[in-house]
Amino acid sequence: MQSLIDILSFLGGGLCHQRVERSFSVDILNMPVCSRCTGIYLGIFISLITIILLERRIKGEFPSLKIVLIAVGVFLIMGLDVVLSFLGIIESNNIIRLITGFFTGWFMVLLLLPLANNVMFERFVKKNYLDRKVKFLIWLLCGAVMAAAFIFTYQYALIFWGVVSILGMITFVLLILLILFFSLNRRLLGSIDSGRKYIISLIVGIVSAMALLSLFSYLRQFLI
Amino acid sequence: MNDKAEEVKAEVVGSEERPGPMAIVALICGILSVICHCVPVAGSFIGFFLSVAAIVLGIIEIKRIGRGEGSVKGKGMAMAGIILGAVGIVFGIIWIVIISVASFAGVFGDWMNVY
Repeated sequence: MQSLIDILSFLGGGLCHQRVERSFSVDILNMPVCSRCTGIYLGIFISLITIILLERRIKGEFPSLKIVLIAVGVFLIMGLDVVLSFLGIIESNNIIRLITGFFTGWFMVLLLLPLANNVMFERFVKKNYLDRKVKFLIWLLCGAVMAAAFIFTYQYALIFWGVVSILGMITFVLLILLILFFSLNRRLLGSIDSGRKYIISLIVGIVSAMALLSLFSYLRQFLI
Repeated sequence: MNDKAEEVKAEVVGSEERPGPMAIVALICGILSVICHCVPVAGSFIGFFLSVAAIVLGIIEIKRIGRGEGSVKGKGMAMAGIILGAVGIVFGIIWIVIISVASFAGVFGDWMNVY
Protein backbone atom coordinates (compact mmCIF):
# COMPACT_ATOMS: atom_id res chain seq x y z
CA MET A 1 0.00 0.00 0.00
CA GLN A 2 2.83 2.37 0.88
CA SER A 3 4.47 1.84 -2.50
CA LEU A 4 1.16 2.73 -4.25
CA ILE A 5 0.96 5.95 -2.22
CA ASP A 6 4.59 6.74 -3.10
CA ILE A 7 3.93 6.19 -6.82
CA LEU A 8 0.81 8.39 -6.70
CA SER A 9 2.70 11.15 -4.88
CA PHE A 10 5.61 10.92 -7.31
CA LEU A 11 3.36 11.23 -10.39
CA GLY A 12 1.26 13.94 -8.72
CA GLY A 13 4.42 15.99 -8.15
CA GLY A 14 4.78 16.33 -11.90
CA LEU A 15 2.01 18.91 -12.20
CA CYS A 16 1.19 20.00 -8.64
CA HIS A 17 2.90 21.89 -5.78
CA GLN A 18 1.44 19.29 -3.31
CA ARG A 19 1.34 21.67 -0.34
CA VAL A 20 0.04 19.74 2.65
CA GLU A 21 -2.10 22.62 3.99
CA ARG A 22 -3.74 22.92 0.57
CA SER A 23 -4.51 19.22 0.25
CA PHE A 24 -7.24 16.96 1.58
CA SER A 25 -5.84 14.66 4.23
CA VAL A 26 -6.85 12.03 6.74
CA ASP A 27 -4.49 11.57 9.70
CA ILE A 28 -1.02 11.40 8.15
CA LEU A 29 -2.29 10.46 4.67
CA ASN A 30 -2.52 13.24 2.06
CA MET A 31 -4.09 13.28 -1.38
CA PRO A 32 -1.30 13.02 -3.99
CA VAL A 33 -2.26 16.45 -5.38
CA CYS A 34 -3.57 19.69 -3.82
CA SER A 35 -7.30 20.35 -3.48
CA ARG A 36 -7.58 22.44 -6.67
CA CYS A 37 -5.66 19.89 -8.74
CA THR A 38 -7.74 17.10 -7.15
CA GLY A 39 -10.83 18.90 -8.43
CA ILE A 40 -9.45 19.53 -11.91
CA TYR A 41 -8.23 15.98 -12.52
CA LEU A 42 -11.21 14.24 -10.88
CA GLY A 43 -13.42 16.46 -13.05
CA ILE A 44 -11.53 15.51 -16.20
CA PHE A 45 -11.59 11.78 -15.54
CA ILE A 46 -15.20 11.45 -14.35
CA SER A 47 -16.51 13.86 -17.02
CA LEU A 48 -14.80 11.79 -19.72
CA ILE A 49 -16.38 8.57 -18.43
CA THR A 50 -19.80 10.24 -18.13
CA ILE A 51 -19.66 11.54 -21.71
CA ILE A 52 -18.56 8.13 -23.03
CA LEU A 53 -21.47 6.49 -21.18
CA LEU A 54 -23.97 9.08 -22.39
CA GLU A 55 -22.74 9.20 -26.00
CA ARG A 56 -21.50 6.00 -27.58
CA ARG A 57 -20.63 7.54 -30.95
CA ILE A 58 -17.28 9.12 -31.80
CA LYS A 59 -18.18 12.77 -32.31
CA GLY A 60 -15.68 15.27 -33.67
CA GLU A 61 -17.50 18.58 -33.92
CA PHE A 62 -16.24 21.43 -31.71
CA PRO A 63 -18.86 22.62 -29.15
CA SER A 64 -21.04 25.65 -29.89
CA LEU A 65 -19.94 29.18 -28.91
CA LYS A 66 -22.49 29.13 -26.06
CA ILE A 67 -20.80 26.11 -24.45
CA VAL A 68 -17.32 27.56 -25.05
CA LEU A 69 -18.40 30.78 -23.29
CA ILE A 70 -19.87 28.81 -20.36
CA ALA A 71 -16.56 26.90 -20.12
CA VAL A 72 -14.57 30.15 -20.19
CA GLY A 73 -16.89 31.52 -17.44
CA VAL A 74 -16.18 28.44 -15.29
CA PHE A 75 -12.41 28.82 -15.90
CA LEU A 76 -12.70 32.51 -14.92
CA ILE A 77 -14.41 31.66 -11.62
CA MET A 78 -11.48 29.38 -10.72
CA GLY A 79 -8.97 32.05 -11.77
CA LEU A 80 -10.74 34.70 -9.69
CA ASP A 81 -10.74 32.37 -6.68
CA VAL A 82 -6.94 31.99 -7.06
CA VAL A 83 -6.26 35.75 -7.42
CA LEU A 84 -8.71 36.99 -4.78
CA SER A 85 -7.62 34.44 -2.18
CA PHE A 86 -3.96 35.21 -2.93
CA LEU A 87 -4.69 38.89 -2.28
CA GLY A 88 -6.59 38.05 0.90
CA ILE A 89 -9.78 39.67 -0.40
CA ILE A 90 -11.72 36.44 0.04
CA GLU A 91 -10.85 33.48 2.22
CA SER A 92 -10.81 30.37 0.10
CA ASN A 93 -10.76 26.88 1.52
CA ASN A 94 -10.11 23.36 0.24
CA ILE A 95 -13.79 22.76 -0.58
CA ILE A 96 -14.08 25.95 -2.69
CA ARG A 97 -10.80 25.12 -4.43
CA LEU A 98 -12.05 21.60 -5.12
CA ILE A 99 -15.41 22.73 -6.54
CA THR A 100 -14.02 25.51 -8.78
CA GLY A 101 -11.31 23.14 -10.02
CA PHE A 102 -13.75 20.26 -10.48
CA PHE A 103 -16.03 22.17 -12.84
CA THR A 104 -13.04 23.55 -14.75
CA GLY A 105 -11.92 19.98 -15.42
CA TRP A 106 -15.52 18.89 -16.06
CA PHE A 107 -15.95 21.44 -18.88
CA MET A 108 -12.42 21.06 -20.23
CA VAL A 109 -13.25 17.57 -21.50
CA LEU A 110 -15.99 19.06 -23.67
CA LEU A 111 -13.28 21.03 -25.51
CA LEU A 112 -10.56 18.37 -25.58
CA LEU A 113 -12.48 15.17 -26.42
CA PRO A 114 -14.07 16.24 -29.76
CA LEU A 115 -10.74 17.79 -30.73
CA ALA A 116 -8.91 14.52 -30.05
CA ASN A 117 -11.55 12.54 -32.00
CA ASN A 118 -11.37 15.00 -34.89
CA VAL A 119 -7.61 14.75 -35.37
CA MET A 120 -7.26 11.04 -34.61
CA PHE A 121 -10.08 9.23 -36.38
CA GLU A 122 -10.55 8.75 -40.09
CA ARG A 123 -14.33 8.75 -39.62
CA PHE A 124 -16.35 10.50 -36.94
CA VAL A 125 -19.87 11.78 -36.48
CA LYS A 126 -20.13 15.43 -37.47
CA LYS A 127 -22.01 16.46 -34.35
CA ASN A 128 -21.30 18.05 -30.95
CA TYR A 129 -21.16 16.04 -27.77
CA LEU A 130 -24.19 16.64 -25.51
CA ASP A 131 -26.05 18.45 -28.28
CA ARG A 132 -29.37 17.64 -26.60
CA LYS A 133 -30.37 19.73 -23.59
CA VAL A 134 -31.45 16.69 -21.55
CA LYS A 135 -28.08 14.99 -21.98
CA PHE A 136 -26.27 18.22 -21.12
CA LEU A 137 -28.31 18.60 -17.92
CA ILE A 138 -27.77 14.94 -16.94
CA TRP A 139 -24.04 15.40 -17.50
CA LEU A 140 -24.03 18.55 -15.36
CA LEU A 141 -26.05 16.85 -12.63
CA CYS A 142 -23.58 13.94 -12.62
CA GLY A 143 -20.83 16.51 -12.04
CA ALA A 144 -22.59 17.97 -9.00
CA VAL A 145 -23.27 14.47 -7.60
CA MET A 146 -19.66 13.33 -8.07
CA ALA A 147 -18.24 16.51 -6.49
CA ALA A 148 -20.56 15.96 -3.50
CA ALA A 149 -19.60 12.26 -3.41
CA PHE A 150 -15.93 13.21 -3.07
CA ILE A 151 -16.58 15.76 -0.33
CA PHE A 152 -18.62 13.30 1.75
CA THR A 153 -16.48 10.20 1.21
CA TYR A 154 -12.84 11.28 0.90
CA GLN A 155 -12.25 10.62 4.59
CA TYR A 156 -13.14 6.96 4.12
CA ALA A 157 -11.69 6.39 0.65
CA LEU A 158 -8.71 8.72 0.34
CA ILE A 159 -6.54 6.25 -1.58
CA PHE A 160 -9.34 5.45 -4.06
CA TRP A 161 -9.87 9.16 -4.80
CA GLY A 162 -6.11 9.60 -4.98
CA VAL A 163 -5.89 6.90 -7.66
CA VAL A 164 -8.78 8.49 -9.60
CA SER A 165 -7.21 11.95 -9.45
CA ILE A 166 -3.87 10.62 -10.77
CA LEU A 167 -5.75 8.76 -13.52
CA GLY A 168 -7.35 12.12 -14.36
CA MET A 169 -3.93 13.77 -14.49
CA ILE A 170 -2.64 11.06 -16.86
CA THR A 171 -5.82 11.42 -18.96
CA PHE A 172 -5.31 15.18 -19.24
CA VAL A 173 -1.69 14.86 -20.37
CA LEU A 174 -2.68 11.96 -22.68
CA LEU A 175 -5.38 14.03 -24.40
CA ILE A 176 -3.02 16.99 -24.89
CA LEU A 177 -0.25 14.73 -26.25
CA LEU A 178 -2.58 12.84 -28.61
CA ILE A 179 -4.03 16.10 -29.97
CA LEU A 180 -0.55 17.54 -30.55
CA PHE A 181 0.93 14.31 -32.01
CA PHE A 182 -1.93 13.81 -34.45
CA SER A 183 -2.56 17.43 -35.46
CA LEU A 184 1.08 18.37 -36.05
CA ASN A 185 1.96 15.30 -38.10
CA ARG A 186 0.33 15.15 -41.54
CA ARG A 187 0.87 11.37 -41.78
CA LEU A 188 -0.82 10.72 -38.46
CA LEU A 189 -3.74 13.16 -38.94
CA GLY A 190 -6.98 11.18 -39.23
CA SER A 191 -5.09 7.89 -39.53
CA ILE A 192 -6.98 5.82 -36.93
CA ASP A 193 -9.24 3.49 -38.91
CA SER A 194 -9.20 0.35 -36.76
CA GLY A 195 -9.47 -0.70 -33.13
CA ARG A 196 -5.92 -2.05 -33.18
CA LYS A 197 -4.43 1.29 -34.24
CA TYR A 198 -6.53 3.05 -31.61
CA ILE A 199 -5.30 0.77 -28.81
CA ILE A 200 -1.67 1.12 -29.95
CA SER A 201 -1.94 4.92 -30.01
CA LEU A 202 -3.57 4.89 -26.56
CA ILE A 203 -0.79 2.71 -25.11
CA VAL A 204 1.93 4.89 -26.66
CA GLY A 205 0.11 8.00 -25.39
CA ILE A 206 -0.28 6.66 -21.83
CA VAL A 207 3.40 5.62 -21.65
CA SER A 208 4.45 9.05 -22.99
CA ALA A 209 2.16 10.84 -20.52
CA MET A 210 3.55 8.88 -17.57
CA ALA A 211 7.13 9.44 -18.76
CA LEU A 212 6.47 13.19 -19.06
CA LEU A 213 4.93 13.36 -15.58
CA SER A 214 7.88 11.42 -14.14
CA LEU A 215 10.31 13.77 -15.87
CA PHE A 216 8.50 16.85 -14.49
CA SER A 217 8.46 15.30 -11.02
CA TYR A 218 12.22 14.55 -11.16
CA LEU A 219 12.95 18.07 -12.42
CA ARG A 220 10.84 19.54 -9.63
CA GLN A 221 12.70 17.50 -6.98
CA PHE A 222 16.00 18.51 -8.56
CA LEU A 223 15.17 22.24 -8.77
CA ILE A 224 13.44 22.71 -5.40
CA MET B 1 -33.51 3.60 -38.12
CA ASN B 2 -33.90 7.12 -39.45
CA ASP B 3 -31.58 8.48 -36.77
CA LYS B 4 -28.93 5.92 -37.69
CA ALA B 5 -29.18 6.84 -41.35
CA GLU B 6 -28.74 10.52 -40.48
CA GLU B 7 -25.68 9.77 -38.36
CA VAL B 8 -24.10 7.67 -41.10
CA LYS B 9 -24.70 10.56 -43.48
CA ALA B 10 -23.03 12.86 -40.97
CA GLU B 11 -19.80 10.82 -40.95
CA VAL B 12 -16.97 12.60 -42.70
CA VAL B 13 -13.73 11.55 -44.33
CA GLY B 14 -10.86 13.73 -45.40
CA SER B 15 -8.63 16.48 -44.06
CA GLU B 16 -10.66 19.34 -45.58
CA GLU B 17 -13.14 18.81 -42.74
CA ARG B 18 -10.46 19.09 -40.08
CA PRO B 19 -9.22 22.26 -38.39
CA GLY B 20 -5.73 23.56 -39.19
CA PRO B 21 -2.91 22.68 -36.77
CA MET B 22 -2.43 26.34 -35.84
CA ALA B 23 -6.04 26.59 -34.60
CA ILE B 24 -5.57 23.44 -32.53
CA VAL B 25 -2.29 24.63 -31.01
CA ALA B 26 -3.90 28.03 -30.24
CA LEU B 27 -6.68 26.29 -28.32
CA ILE B 28 -4.28 23.98 -26.45
CA CYS B 29 -2.06 26.96 -25.50
CA GLY B 30 -5.18 28.80 -24.27
CA ILE B 31 -6.33 25.87 -22.10
CA LEU B 32 -2.84 25.27 -20.66
CA SER B 33 -2.39 28.99 -19.93
CA VAL B 34 -5.56 29.01 -17.80
CA ILE B 35 -4.26 26.04 -15.78
CA CYS B 36 -0.78 27.58 -15.44
CA HIS B 37 -2.17 30.87 -14.10
CA CYS B 38 -3.53 28.98 -11.10
CA VAL B 39 0.02 28.39 -9.87
CA PRO B 40 1.18 31.84 -8.76
CA VAL B 41 4.55 33.21 -9.93
CA ALA B 42 6.22 30.21 -11.64
CA GLY B 43 3.07 29.03 -13.38
CA SER B 44 1.90 32.53 -14.20
CA PHE B 45 5.13 33.32 -16.08
CA ILE B 46 4.71 30.21 -18.25
CA GLY B 47 0.99 30.96 -18.53
CA PHE B 48 1.68 34.48 -19.79
CA PHE B 49 3.79 33.17 -22.69
CA LEU B 50 1.21 30.50 -23.48
CA SER B 51 -1.53 33.17 -23.53
CA VAL B 52 0.46 35.31 -25.97
CA ALA B 53 1.07 32.23 -28.14
CA ALA B 54 -2.66 31.36 -28.07
CA ILE B 55 -3.66 34.86 -29.17
CA VAL B 56 -0.98 35.18 -31.88
CA LEU B 57 -1.66 31.72 -33.36
CA GLY B 58 -5.42 32.25 -33.15
CA ILE B 59 -5.23 35.58 -35.00
CA ILE B 60 -2.90 34.16 -37.67
CA GLU B 61 -5.27 31.22 -38.24
CA ILE B 62 -8.36 33.44 -38.48
CA LYS B 63 -6.53 35.64 -41.02
CA ARG B 64 -5.57 32.51 -43.01
CA ILE B 65 -9.18 31.34 -42.96
CA GLY B 66 -10.27 34.81 -44.11
CA ARG B 67 -7.90 34.55 -47.07
CA GLY B 68 -9.31 31.10 -47.86
CA GLU B 69 -6.02 29.33 -47.01
CA GLY B 70 -7.11 27.52 -43.84
CA SER B 71 -9.97 25.16 -43.01
CA VAL B 72 -13.14 26.98 -41.87
CA LYS B 73 -13.49 24.21 -39.27
CA GLY B 74 -10.68 25.83 -37.28
CA LYS B 75 -12.41 29.18 -36.85
CA GLY B 76 -14.26 28.20 -33.65
CA MET B 77 -11.11 26.71 -32.13
CA ALA B 78 -9.00 29.72 -33.07
CA MET B 79 -11.63 32.01 -31.49
CA ALA B 80 -11.73 29.86 -28.33
CA GLY B 81 -7.91 30.01 -28.22
CA ILE B 82 -7.98 33.81 -28.51
CA ILE B 83 -10.65 34.14 -25.77
CA LEU B 84 -8.75 31.82 -23.39
CA GLY B 85 -5.49 33.60 -24.27
CA ALA B 86 -7.11 36.96 -23.47
CA VAL B 87 -8.33 35.61 -20.12
CA GLY B 88 -4.77 34.37 -19.50
CA ILE B 89 -3.27 37.78 -20.40
CA VAL B 90 -5.61 39.50 -17.92
CA PHE B 91 -4.53 37.09 -15.16
CA GLY B 92 -0.89 37.45 -16.26
CA ILE B 93 -1.10 41.24 -15.90
CA ILE B 94 -2.75 40.87 -12.47
CA TRP B 95 0.09 38.56 -11.34
CA ILE B 96 2.77 40.93 -12.68
CA VAL B 97 1.19 43.84 -10.77
CA ILE B 98 0.92 41.74 -7.59
CA ILE B 99 4.54 40.50 -7.83
CA SER B 100 5.83 44.02 -8.60
CA VAL B 101 3.95 45.59 -5.69
CA ALA B 102 4.99 42.80 -3.30
CA SER B 103 8.65 43.04 -4.37
CA PHE B 104 8.59 46.84 -4.07
CA ALA B 105 7.06 46.65 -0.61
CA GLY B 106 9.55 43.95 0.41
CA VAL B 107 6.88 41.42 1.38
CA PHE B 108 7.23 39.08 -1.57
CA GLY B 109 8.82 36.26 0.47
CA ASP B 110 6.19 36.50 3.22
CA TRP B 111 3.43 36.53 0.66
CA MET B 112 4.71 33.40 -1.03
CA ASN B 113 4.95 31.62 2.32
CA VAL B 114 1.32 32.49 2.98
CA TYR B 115 0.35 31.03 -0.38
